[in-house]
Amino acid sequence: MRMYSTNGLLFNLNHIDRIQRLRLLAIAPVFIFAVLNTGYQYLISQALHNVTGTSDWRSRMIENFLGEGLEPDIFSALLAGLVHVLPVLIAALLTAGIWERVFAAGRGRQFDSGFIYLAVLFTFFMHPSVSLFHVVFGISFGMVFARGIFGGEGRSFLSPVLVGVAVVQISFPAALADHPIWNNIAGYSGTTSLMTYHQEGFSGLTWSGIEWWDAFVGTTQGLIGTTSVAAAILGGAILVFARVASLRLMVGHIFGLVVASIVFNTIAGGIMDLPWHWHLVLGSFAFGVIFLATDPSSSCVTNSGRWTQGIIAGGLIVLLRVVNPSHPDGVIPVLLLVSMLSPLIDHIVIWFNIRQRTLRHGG
Amino acid sequence: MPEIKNKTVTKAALLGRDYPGTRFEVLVQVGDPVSMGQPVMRDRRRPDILFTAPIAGKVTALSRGRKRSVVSLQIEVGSEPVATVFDVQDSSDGDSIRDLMLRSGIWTALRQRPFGTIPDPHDRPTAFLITAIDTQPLAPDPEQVIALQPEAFSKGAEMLAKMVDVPVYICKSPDADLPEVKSGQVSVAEFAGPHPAGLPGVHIHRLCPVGFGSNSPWHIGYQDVISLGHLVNTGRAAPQKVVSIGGPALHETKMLSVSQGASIEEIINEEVENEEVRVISGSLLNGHNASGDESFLGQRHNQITVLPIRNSPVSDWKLRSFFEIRPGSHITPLIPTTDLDRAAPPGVLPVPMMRALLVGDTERARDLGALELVEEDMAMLSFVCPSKTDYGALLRDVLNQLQKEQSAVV
Repeated sequence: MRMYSTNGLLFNLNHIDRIQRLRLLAIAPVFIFAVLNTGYQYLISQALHNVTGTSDWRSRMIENFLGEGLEPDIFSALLAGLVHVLPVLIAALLTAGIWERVFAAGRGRQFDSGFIYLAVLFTFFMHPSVSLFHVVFGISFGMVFARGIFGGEGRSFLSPVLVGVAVVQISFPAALADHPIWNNIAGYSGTTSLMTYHQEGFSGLTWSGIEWWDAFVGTTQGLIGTTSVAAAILGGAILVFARVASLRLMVGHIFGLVVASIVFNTIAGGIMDLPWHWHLVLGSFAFGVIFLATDPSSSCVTNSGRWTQGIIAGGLIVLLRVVNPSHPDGVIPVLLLVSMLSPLIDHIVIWFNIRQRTLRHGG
Repeated sequence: MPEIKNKTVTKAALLGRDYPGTRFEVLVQVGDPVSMGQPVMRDRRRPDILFTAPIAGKVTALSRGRKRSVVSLQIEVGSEPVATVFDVQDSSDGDSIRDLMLRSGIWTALRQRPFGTIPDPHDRPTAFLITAIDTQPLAPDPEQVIALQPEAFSKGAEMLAKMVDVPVYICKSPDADLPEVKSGQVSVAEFAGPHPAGLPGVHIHRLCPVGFGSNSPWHIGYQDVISLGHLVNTGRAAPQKVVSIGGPALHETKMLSVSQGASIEEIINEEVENEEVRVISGSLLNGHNASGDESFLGQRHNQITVLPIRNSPVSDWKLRSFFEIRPGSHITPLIPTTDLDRAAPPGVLPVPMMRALLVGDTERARDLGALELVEEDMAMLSFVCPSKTDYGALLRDVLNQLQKEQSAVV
């Protein structure tokens, strides 16, 4: 019962290629910002800590290209950023492409270009100095166990990116924790700004040079692509406008986060005091919510379900952040958990819908 | 108001696919002369329901499909036009109108929910809807068509109200100005907005929701109301209906007046200079492909859409052919984007319903409201869903199954 269009007109208006193109368009602003910010952070951190002669191949490459003691202008930031982002991206793309090809051949289906989007998203969740082996390991795990074995695009119940990133975070918890340049990032699990706040309060954040606007625009140290809330919102606007991602889901997350932060603010002090507008811009909350939580295949499919899922996830993220200081960010595990929960939420929504229909017709 | 061109065709047909779930008993043979309005087929299970010839002439072909179902019964116009004259003197009470509708074949224009089939003459509906709004792309404006024969429309609506003896709703768009109908039972319901707003499914959902076999509204299109009025006024079946012909392959949308079931090939031969076209009886969204034995105007269709034939668009990613493993083996999944929520019939959860249809879960589809729907309600979802599945056809399978179970219980 398929209408393969012989005329190429009628049923191609919402082709899967359109969805994939739109997704790539939506991450374009994030990508540009990610490259520039990674390079910029590298350069200022390099100048600040005056780290030279590291054995890191990235540093050597940048020194070869640009020489030492650089001013962080836009060109050198771009170049330093590309040196950090491109190898990770290429490794992720190649690995994901190979797995896609393997599964396409094994299952006798067509090669699907959706892996490009996944590889880019995965790159954004990596530490700028990540070991390429870890990249290959993580994206392989995601592509195989959260995509390939379920049959590819749109058939998995978890986002391959989330699974891959979670596996890297869990498998290498201590990696790069005390990097000389990226000293504001707690290894693979994201920014330490939440931990800084936990330990030292607002003075800690101020001392690290983080203002709210910095965190919003994203000129802070962090995972490659997740620092900028502004760029993520721009991409999210494209997704929502093209009706690929659900605005309800995004607003639900924000609502859950705001309510949970206010509740914790009234309960106790310490990190629980962190106000909601800081929760919104710190860590990978905005990026994760806009690009990962709204993955249509692994989130709720009913509108009431989307609200519920968003509110639960937003609340859980705050909970994990404030009562579990060992995990500074909390976005990845919460999104995974809630993805798994989403069929149950949908099940309940469907049950209510059926019950309502039955009641309307008197049994 | 656009000019309405009168178009006489030499061939017309009755199409089996216009009447889902009906098994036909053919009353004529190929070669027989028939007059306009003469019964040519009837419903095998409910022999009161007659299907009448749309034009006078000679039966030229009877094409059959799977399990000897009737695909089309074609009639070619004869030398002299003969029309059956019906006795309309006694149209005072419901039963005589019902009888007249059955005899003249106008009864077959009625549809009921659930299932979208022709209602049983012995049944009574719980509500009756006259669809005088059309939101499909390039469809004719009902207000203009009704304005050609306002008395016939009022008369037809009055007769229907008298016949069914339940609340009758005339569904129209807010800015349409329709002739007044002198009957206490008839009220006007206004629907505004883009496409699904004009579908009977939407009106039924708002006015008289369909339940588990307890509630059965009927509906009819505005052109059939005009036909009924014409019949009651003159004793003859209305010879023509107004259709629009348009689409991306044509420069402009035209209005034509053609006979019921007119041959689309003949209509478009004049209108289309470009030879490479695909013609659809009905709208782009849920019309039927008009080709071969089925290239005739559908009974409920008020428009003809003409599309240019283009080769499949060049893949946006040139490397794809390089990676292609088995051409055509790409089965795209259902991706539950928020587009689907806007295309969904009201009150129905789109993705759970589509999933139930895809796996053929009859029970779940019924619980989610399949009884409220027919193919045309799912058309927007098929249009938007990247999987390119024809959910209307899947829904019909489910409805057939449910109908079978229901008749087994009764």
